[in-house]
Amino acid sequence: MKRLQLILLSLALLLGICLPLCVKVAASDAGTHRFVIDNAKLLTQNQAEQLERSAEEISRCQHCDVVILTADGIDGRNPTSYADDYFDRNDYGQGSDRSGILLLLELSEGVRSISTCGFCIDVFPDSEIEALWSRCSAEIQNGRYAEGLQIYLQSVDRMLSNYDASGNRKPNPVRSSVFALGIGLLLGFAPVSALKSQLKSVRSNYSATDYVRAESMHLDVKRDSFLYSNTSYRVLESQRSAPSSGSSTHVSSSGVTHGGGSAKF
Amino acid sequence: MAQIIEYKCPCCGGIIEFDSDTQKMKCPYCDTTFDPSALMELDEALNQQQPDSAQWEIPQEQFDASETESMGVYHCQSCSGEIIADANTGATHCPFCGNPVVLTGRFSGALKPDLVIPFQLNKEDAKAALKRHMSGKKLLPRLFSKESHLDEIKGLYVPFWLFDADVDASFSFRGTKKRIWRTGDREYTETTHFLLQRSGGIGFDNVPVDGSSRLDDAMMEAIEPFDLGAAVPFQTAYLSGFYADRYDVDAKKSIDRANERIQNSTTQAFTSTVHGYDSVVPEHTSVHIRNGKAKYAMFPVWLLTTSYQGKLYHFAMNGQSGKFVGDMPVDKRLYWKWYGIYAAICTAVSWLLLYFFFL
Repeated sequence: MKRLQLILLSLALLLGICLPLCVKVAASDAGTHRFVIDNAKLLTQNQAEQLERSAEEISRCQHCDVVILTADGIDGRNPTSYADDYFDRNDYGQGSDRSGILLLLELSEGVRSISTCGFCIDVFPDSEIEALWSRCSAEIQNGRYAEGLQIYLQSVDRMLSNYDASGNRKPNPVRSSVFALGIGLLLGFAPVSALKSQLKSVRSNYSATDYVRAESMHLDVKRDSFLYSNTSYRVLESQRSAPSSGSSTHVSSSGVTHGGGSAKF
Repeated sequence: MAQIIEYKCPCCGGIIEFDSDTQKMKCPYCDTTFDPSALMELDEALNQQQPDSAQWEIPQEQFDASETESMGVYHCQSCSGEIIADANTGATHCPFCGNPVVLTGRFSGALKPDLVIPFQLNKEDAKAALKRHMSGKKLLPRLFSKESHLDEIKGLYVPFWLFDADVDASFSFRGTKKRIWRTGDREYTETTHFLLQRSGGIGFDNVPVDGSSRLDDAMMEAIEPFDLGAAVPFQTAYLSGFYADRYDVDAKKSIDRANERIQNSTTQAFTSTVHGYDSVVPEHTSVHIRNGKAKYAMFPVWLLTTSYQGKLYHFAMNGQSGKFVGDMPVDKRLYWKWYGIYAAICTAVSWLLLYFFFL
């Protein structure tokens, strides 16, 4: 009995120590920070809370922070670096490479900026960022900010679903099967055509190589003369020190590499 | 009528035949063997009879319309049975007693072949080669090897024209070399053009062209090459026991095919002397072929015919080297079955690769 009590007590102590730690870790992962910061007061309380819940869920499920920031004036600073710095200074980003994506809507100048970090740089190359924005730009430009931002969050979530926790592309079995079937059907013809050609052996001889008199070939004239030369060039697309697939990157003031960019809307 | 000859064994009177295993004339009745050169005297006697056979040839050229006149009727010396042979048959068997006969008139005078390669392989070798040809072919209908009947198998000396040629050739090509490099944000491509000239000569010996219109030229080319090292001066004795045809496509018509092959070989040989260019395009070609005298030779070929489901399939075997050719049918069901198997394997492998490495 005493032994049993001792065991139970130590278990309880253990749990008592571990649980708070887990909670603390979980809490710190999800961050004490908010995901929707509406400084420009574009959203009602309800809309803000709804978007906050969506963003928090997406961030938790996709292992990267999805942040929305609205502002009415940023002291004349560059929107891209403002977004990058805001992301870094407020400790956003999950994992060792601090993965996350931040959308800044700056209304006084009518500029939007998207800043990516960690594996989100590769998940959202420049082309994808353009696509993301084009999906929600109509709503936002017409003042329906809540709807626009909801569409934005849904698009981000859809894109991130193709990738796993460490940012690697998830294999898509359906797509693989379709491609594999196509390749298999085409390649299947090769070996069976080889088998079919085994049955055909009657063919004319193209040349008379067997009948060349030994050592009879002689080259009297063997001359290679230079005629002319021309040089042409083409301009390559400017590629900065970028990783794969066209993400233009820039370094924030804290020295962290971010992807994405700004555009007027 | 032209004379037919049967080579009789001096020991027992039976008809002697050329035996490919010993390369001598052999009597199948008493097993005595003779050297073919021993029978040369008979051939010399025939050559003196030139005037007769020459006279026989003329009607064939003048009276083309009446083909029956070109069909000769002969009498077998052993059984007196009538042998009807057309203009080109040189050696055959009596249809009644089976004795081999040689129609020497077809090979005398101007029609005498220069060379003959005697048979090295016999009928059993030909049958075995057919079996080997049919084995291991996955798409061959299963019943082909079982149900096909060997309708006919005959050893035939096929008339060939052999052409020598000395070729003078001159080629010019346009060659290019490319160099690509990057500086800053530009990629430069420098293309340098060259004129490549090659002239010279090459010689060819004994390019064969089938001189019989009855035999498929492609099939005769497929069983090449024949080794002329084993060729001997022609004697009618070698024909005994086999079939033989005289040519019916003359040298003038055959030379075009030989020259076509010679031209292709020359182009290949000279093009292969060009090295080190990214692209080579021929600009000007000049090939001048000077033909030597044509030789007339008899080469040994085993011909086999089988029938399967109402269709005839022809095979030929080089009677010297044993090379066997002949087209066979494809079983459609087996074709699609194997396609399905290979397609399934390829699909599985691609799926694994795509799943784990790309997508």
